[in-house]
Amino acid sequence: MVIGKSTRAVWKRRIEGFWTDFSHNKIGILGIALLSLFIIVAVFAPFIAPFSQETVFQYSGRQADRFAYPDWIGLIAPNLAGLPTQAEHVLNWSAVQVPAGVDLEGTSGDTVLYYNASVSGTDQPIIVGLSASFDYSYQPMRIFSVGIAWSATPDAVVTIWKTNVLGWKIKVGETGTMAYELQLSLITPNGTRYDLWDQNWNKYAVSNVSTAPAFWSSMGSGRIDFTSDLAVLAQKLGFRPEDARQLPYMLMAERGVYTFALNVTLKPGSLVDSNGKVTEVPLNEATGNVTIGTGKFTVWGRRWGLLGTDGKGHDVYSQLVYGSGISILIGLAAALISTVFGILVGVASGYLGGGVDEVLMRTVDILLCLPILPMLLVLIHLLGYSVYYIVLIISLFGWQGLARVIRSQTLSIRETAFVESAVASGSSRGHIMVRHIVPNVFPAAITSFILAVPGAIILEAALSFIGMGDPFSPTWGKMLEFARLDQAYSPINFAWWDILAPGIAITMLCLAFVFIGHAVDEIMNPRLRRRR
Amino acid sequence: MGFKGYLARRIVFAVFTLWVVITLNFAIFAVLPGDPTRYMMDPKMRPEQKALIRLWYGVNDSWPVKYVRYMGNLLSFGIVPPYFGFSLKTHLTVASEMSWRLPLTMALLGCSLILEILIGIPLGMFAASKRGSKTDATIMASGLFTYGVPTFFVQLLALLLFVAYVKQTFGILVFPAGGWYTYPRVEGLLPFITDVMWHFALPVMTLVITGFAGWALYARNLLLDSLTEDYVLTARAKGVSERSVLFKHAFKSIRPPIVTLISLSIPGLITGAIITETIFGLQGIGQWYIESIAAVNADYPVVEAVLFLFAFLTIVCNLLVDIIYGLLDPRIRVGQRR
Repeated sequence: MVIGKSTRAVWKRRIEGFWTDFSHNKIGILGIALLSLFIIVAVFAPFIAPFSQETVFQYSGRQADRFAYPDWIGLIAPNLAGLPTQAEHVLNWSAVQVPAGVDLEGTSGDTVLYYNASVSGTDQPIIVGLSASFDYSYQPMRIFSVGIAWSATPDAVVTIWKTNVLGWKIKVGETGTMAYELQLSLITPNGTRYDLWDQNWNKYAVSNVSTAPAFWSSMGSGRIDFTSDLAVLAQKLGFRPEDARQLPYMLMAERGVYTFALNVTLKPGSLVDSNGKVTEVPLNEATGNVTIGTGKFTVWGRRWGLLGTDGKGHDVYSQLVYGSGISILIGLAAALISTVFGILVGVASGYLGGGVDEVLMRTVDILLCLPILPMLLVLIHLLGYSVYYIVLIISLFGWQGLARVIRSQTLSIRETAFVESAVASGSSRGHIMVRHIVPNVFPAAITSFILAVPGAIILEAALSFIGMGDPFSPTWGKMLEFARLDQAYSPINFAWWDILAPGIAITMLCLAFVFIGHAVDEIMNPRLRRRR
Repeated sequence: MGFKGYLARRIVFAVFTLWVVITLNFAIFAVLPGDPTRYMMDPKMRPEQKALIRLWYGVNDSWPVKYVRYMGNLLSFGIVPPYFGFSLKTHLTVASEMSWRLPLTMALLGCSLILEILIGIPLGMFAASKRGSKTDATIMASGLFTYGVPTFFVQLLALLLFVAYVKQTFGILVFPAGGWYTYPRVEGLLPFITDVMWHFALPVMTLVITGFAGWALYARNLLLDSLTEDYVLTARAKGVSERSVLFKHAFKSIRPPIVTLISLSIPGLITGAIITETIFGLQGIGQWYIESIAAVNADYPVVEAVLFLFAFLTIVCNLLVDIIYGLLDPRIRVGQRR
């Protein structure tokens, strides 16, 4: 449709006049400012949010401890200022004890131990001591994790033979020329030593610590990888398994320099046969090396970022930023569809009248006295939990009020002189509806459109909140749902930031539309202005 | 057409609406793919057992048979067999579970609606009597605010404040975190009622907080509108006090639209009740409905019965309001259309 020059001028004047009125309305300007803020946040979300959408909404992996306080918590609660922030301490090993027979070499962060038993001259285990220190000057964390990678390579694999009664040599098995064992301890600032980990780790879970057999590896690689909340760890340290969650409070209660000590025990490879006889590799063959990678000690922060973390340890601020766009889009889309529907039904019903009017208006009456949310839930269940269907279904229940208003306006416009003259000049009914009636009911539709947005936003948030939302769309309602499911309001968690942030965001966005709608309403219906 | 004709038309319309709703509901569940009893089947069951279960739930019947059974099921109102059918989850009759869940929801809905009106409308009239003042502006602003703040956010905040903050700081539990009575149940009827009321306090309070300002705003605007009418001018000319004008002359004219708003607010109240029950763990029918519909295998006898109940409640309220409207508004009695 080509718009004529005069029509364009009329619209230009109208919009300019509207803007003049609007710019004098303080509430309206406040609404526009708020909305612009949210739109800017939505558009620049990938640049504003410190983490990607996948990182903060996926179910595994976290940025900090669960329900970590916002970073600035110390400003309002000084007793919480000493909580640890998220930190990864790199454990760079330095040698404390290097016995004869071991050459130590550090290459690009890795520490390589070369073992040669013929130099040490003994088949007894010799211990290489490594240590790494870090400064910890916070209150205890709630959880920490340790990760150290190692690999061991004996120089050769030797076959061990056994002579039987007939004097035949029988192959018993094969063993590496070198055997090793690792043991990790934590030394607190006051010198207490906690033996955190060794290769007998798995056996503590099932049997008594004291009777656990030595476990010698001859080759291979692996990782020391554990978090402090493991029941096995508590058990190994002599605590009750129930105390596992309290472990860091006992281990790291002091502030100061903590040291991780890693003892690597080396000896010639040996094989124990079925009779219990130990056969050892000859000293001159017992060589090999063990590589210890730099360790990583992670303190899961109890203070984190601008708005802390949620019950899964995900950054709340990033989630908030990503939620902005989707909430605005859902609100606008649902309101737009329902407004268009309302105009169509209202104009058709009002102008065509008769049977069409009767059928449409009875439908409106029926829809107006339906319990909306239960019906929505049934339809969502039927169509599927997708954000598109949710928008469609929300708009399906939002057009009735507007349709009534538009119908009554259409009824009065139908009687005006310009419609009569259009009829007289032979315009078709479709033409009259599109060119004469719709432009005249437009002001009412605009107000209704703007005021329908907050309703749609709240309804979508409510759906997400009760677990009926799109599982793949990161909305604010979903944040509140998770806050509820993870018990953010329980006295232990008291994660007010996780509830306040999305809640205030929804409220502010809705208020922005309410303010704009209120202002537009005042301009479009001057009768309202006189009232106050 | 007098009042009787009006009444007859409203009743016919209400019955028709109810029929449309429950037929729609049937249609939705009829087009759902899959056999609703498939989750009950144990692989170890013999084919005869499986066939018996299908027969029991009438899975293989043709849809007209299902429709007739469905209508009979709902229109028996759960008072006579088949008591709304059997829940797929508990295998008990839906009516037996509804009998103790329904009073909770009704109490929640009723208390919050009555309190909202009792607080909201006088407040709105008060604001109207002080129009243009700061009090008026405050009430108006809070009305606008509650339009934008979601009820469930206010409820989470209330939980955060009373259950977490007050408990943590002062060590006293002002309001319980959820449920509708303390477990184990307290002895005696009166302590038990007090206990239940204590559990209802926070849900009702939060519903009222988010609801009353809307009523206040509405009442205020209606009242101010009616102040421009001629009869108010007449009353003022006669020298009737401003107070009397407001509360006697103007108030009479705003009763019908307020009654209409009550009927229009019922669907919103049901929405509020569903969410409130979910948050506070009140085992009413709203929470039951969500549980049943969100399950992997929707418990469709429960969903059907509860949806019917919600629709019935809404429609009957609408009908009652129409009748009251007719009684309040003389124009309807003498035969004008609304």
